[in-house]
Amino acid sequence: MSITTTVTTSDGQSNPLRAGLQSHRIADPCTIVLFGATGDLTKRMLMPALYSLRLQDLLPSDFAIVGYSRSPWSDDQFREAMKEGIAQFAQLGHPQGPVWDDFARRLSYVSGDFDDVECYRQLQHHLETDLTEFNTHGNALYYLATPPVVFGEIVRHLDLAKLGPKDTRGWCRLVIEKPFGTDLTSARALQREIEKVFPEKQIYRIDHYLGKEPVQDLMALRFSNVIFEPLWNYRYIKSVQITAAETVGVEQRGGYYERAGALRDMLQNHVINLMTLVAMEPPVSSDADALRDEKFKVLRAVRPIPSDRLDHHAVRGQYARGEIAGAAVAAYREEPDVDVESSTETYAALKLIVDNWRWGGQVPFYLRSGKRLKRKNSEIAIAFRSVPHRLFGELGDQFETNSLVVKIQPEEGISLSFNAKYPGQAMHIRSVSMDFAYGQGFGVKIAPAYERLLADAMRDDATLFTRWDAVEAAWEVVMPVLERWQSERPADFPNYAAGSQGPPAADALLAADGDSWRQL
Amino acid sequence: MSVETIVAELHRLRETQSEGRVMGATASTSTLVVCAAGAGELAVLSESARRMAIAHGARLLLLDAGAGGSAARVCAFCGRAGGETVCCEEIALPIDAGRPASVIADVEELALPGLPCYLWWVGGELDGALLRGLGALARRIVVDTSRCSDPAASLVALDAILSRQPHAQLWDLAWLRVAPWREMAARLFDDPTRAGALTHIEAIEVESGSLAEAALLAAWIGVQLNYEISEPARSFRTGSGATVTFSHLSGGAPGEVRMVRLHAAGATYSAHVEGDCGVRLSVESEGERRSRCEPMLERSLEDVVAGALFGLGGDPGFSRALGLTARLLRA
Ligand SMILES: NC(=O)c1ccc[n+]([C@@H]2O[C@H](COP(=O)([O-])OP(=O)(O)OC[C@H]3O[C@@H](n4cnc5c(N)ncnc54)[C@H](OP(=O)(O)O)[C@@H]3O)[C@@H](O)[C@H]2O)c1
Repeated sequence: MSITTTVTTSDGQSNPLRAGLQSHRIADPCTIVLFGATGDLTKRMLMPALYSLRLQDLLPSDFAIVGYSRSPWSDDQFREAMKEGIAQFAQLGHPQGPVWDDFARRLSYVSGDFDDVECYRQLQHHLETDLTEFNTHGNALYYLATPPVVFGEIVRHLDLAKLGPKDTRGWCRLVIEKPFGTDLTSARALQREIEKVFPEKQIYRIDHYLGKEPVQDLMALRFSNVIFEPLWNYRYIKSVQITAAETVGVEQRGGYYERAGALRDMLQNHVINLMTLVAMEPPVSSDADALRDEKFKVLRAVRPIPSDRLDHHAVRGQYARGEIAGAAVAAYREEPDVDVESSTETYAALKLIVDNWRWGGQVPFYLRSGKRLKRKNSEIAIAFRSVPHRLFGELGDQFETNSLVVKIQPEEGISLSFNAKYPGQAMHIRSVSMDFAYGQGFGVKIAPAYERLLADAMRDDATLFTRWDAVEAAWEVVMPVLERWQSERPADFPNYAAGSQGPPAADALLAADGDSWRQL
Repeated sequence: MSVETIVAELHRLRETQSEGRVMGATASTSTLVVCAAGAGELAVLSESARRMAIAHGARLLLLDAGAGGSAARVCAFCGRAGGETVCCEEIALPIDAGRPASVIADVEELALPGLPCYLWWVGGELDGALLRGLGALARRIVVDTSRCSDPAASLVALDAILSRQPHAQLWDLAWLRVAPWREMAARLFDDPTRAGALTHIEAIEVESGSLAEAALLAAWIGVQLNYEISEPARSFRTGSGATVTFSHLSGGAPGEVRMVRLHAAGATYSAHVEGDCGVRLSVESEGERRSRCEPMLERSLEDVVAGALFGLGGDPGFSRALGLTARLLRA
């Protein structure tokens, strides 16, 4: 996490004026190639993040950006679309003036199919022009912001066009959006294809949840304080709930979502990744692999979900019509590009058990994610066990167990609840909470996750990116569920109303353990 | 108004709030003390101080040495922070800087007990008993050498304070204002083919409204490049024994930096404010003339002060640069 990189010349000479500056981790000069440059992600997230980094002086001084997509855009159309995207989504005001002019000058566009060898020649030409015009040192960061079906194809063609790591004169890195494969077999096939061209060290599998400040703070919370870690085990923790709830439906992405579903889209990557951060052992150092080793070990320790008791560990749901914030919303099966008899899950919940020394197979990790739920809320909630003996409190006092909640979005912060005496003659006990809100707590603006992750990839810090072994292990965890759900049509879909807490079966999953979900 | 009356007034305010007549949580996580020496200075800064108090949940204590015989005042003000309404208590206290002991005693009484206290010291000289006493109460202190009547002497005095108390969390606004210029200077040498020129610098020129920023910026470059102080006066000596001259070109308002220029091996590397461009970075030599615009990250005074008082802290670069600055200015 705290790798310090200063700008270094090929002969090892670095800029001593950089040492100790806020931007001392600034990246090497490079060209960023955005595959899928006309898409939603580029416009809404990537380009605003890059421009914001530029304004904060966190991009290398010598850089260029090449967009690549099938739409027949010119360089100027690309610049115009990106300018609109930045104006709309970056919260930086309208891009203008010499800084924007300079940024725009560095944008160019290649139009073509991702399997067209000729287009890769054009891309090569752009990279060479950037090298001479913008002094990019032949370094390239390829960002695959395309539908996953073309990931393999792009990598193969980069190699054919001699634009891969073994042929380029500078460094060469690949950033891949999720999902990585659609199941274990396809993920392995994709990995085989990619590793033929890019060594693991140069592959950055992005999970934007990991770029969020509270998620990183979870590590700080655990490993920079003495008050939590001694309690962080089965003796004091009763259960862990990780929630990624959305109020939005599938919007314009019905086609994609039909093939994905909540398990693949959210649980297998974002939510399981969060779980590994909660459950892992302290890494031996703050470097990328030390952390990723520990995350991987957690996944190896997850007890396989038994096929004969699968329903005791996994629940799926699909939203029916309902109401969100007072407005009527359609059922999933009524969304554009969705099959009227679709059996795709828009809600998934898992109960996982970790069999290792720390968790002793005794602490359920409840994971849930769903669309069209009552409230947008992503959080990690650690529920502690009860006190061994109830000494205080009048009859009828509600005694809540301690909980620690890491709020990821929309609020970002940490909340710790504990019991205190209610003022008065009697010894009434009430639960109170201590809240820490990011931004407010430090009086600073929180940077969007993509800013952090793009900058990290440029400066070769893979800490917040997922390594292949963890991707594979996460698929192994969910495969029994995925296979069952694919082979058995759900009898009860749709089974939760839009705007509700989710399907009743999910409540039953926790009720069986005497537990319940935190209210959304 | 006596301290007892002020305390009673604060109690009354709290009661008003607990009766629900003031909507919002009372800020009570720290005390922000702003001490101004000159007449009218507080009036200019009190709005910034209020916003900082709201954002960081602080009781605000305004000490005004320029207020003449006016009376103390207690009030509350509310604002939004992190989506919530926060109300802060404000005590404005005219002080007699000539009686530091009683001012310090009052501040001790009026600061929230057991909670951190932050001091923004505006305008006054740095070698007096009042700053020493208030400084001892404060967890962090911000001063401004470029507003002192003799910035060079103030920088030397500040260095003396930090040498006596190396762990003091004390910041100079002049140093904080230089932060974006340190970035700009570094940018000039990010191109790996230029980094080598840093070993051949012959002259550093800084144009600014006050000597404080110029000297701190030059000294920071000196620290990064391991310079020592050289004769003749106000120049540096490199590790290989070469002399690097320092010139302060007067220009701009107090606190403003307009340009930094380095001469090395026949080339000139400069960053200067230029209208629409923001800051123009240029490199000029016989065979090369390159320039480009960089955005200047504008930070409001309150963001800069709040960053120093409530932010991360711990910038070892400051004490090193200040040390070299003091030696440079004494030379
Ligand atoms: N959008 C988000 O907020 C978000 C969040 C997390 C992850 N992601 C991931 O990011 C990637 C891109 O998502 P997106 O939302 O930007 O998708 P999108 O809006 O559909 O954009 C996809 C881009 O790929 C291009 N493309 C090239 N070949 C294509 C093909 N065979 N089929 C469809 N498009 C093709 C499209 O442009 P042309 O038609 O011009 O070629 C377009 O530029 C996906 O892997 C997605 O899972 C997106």
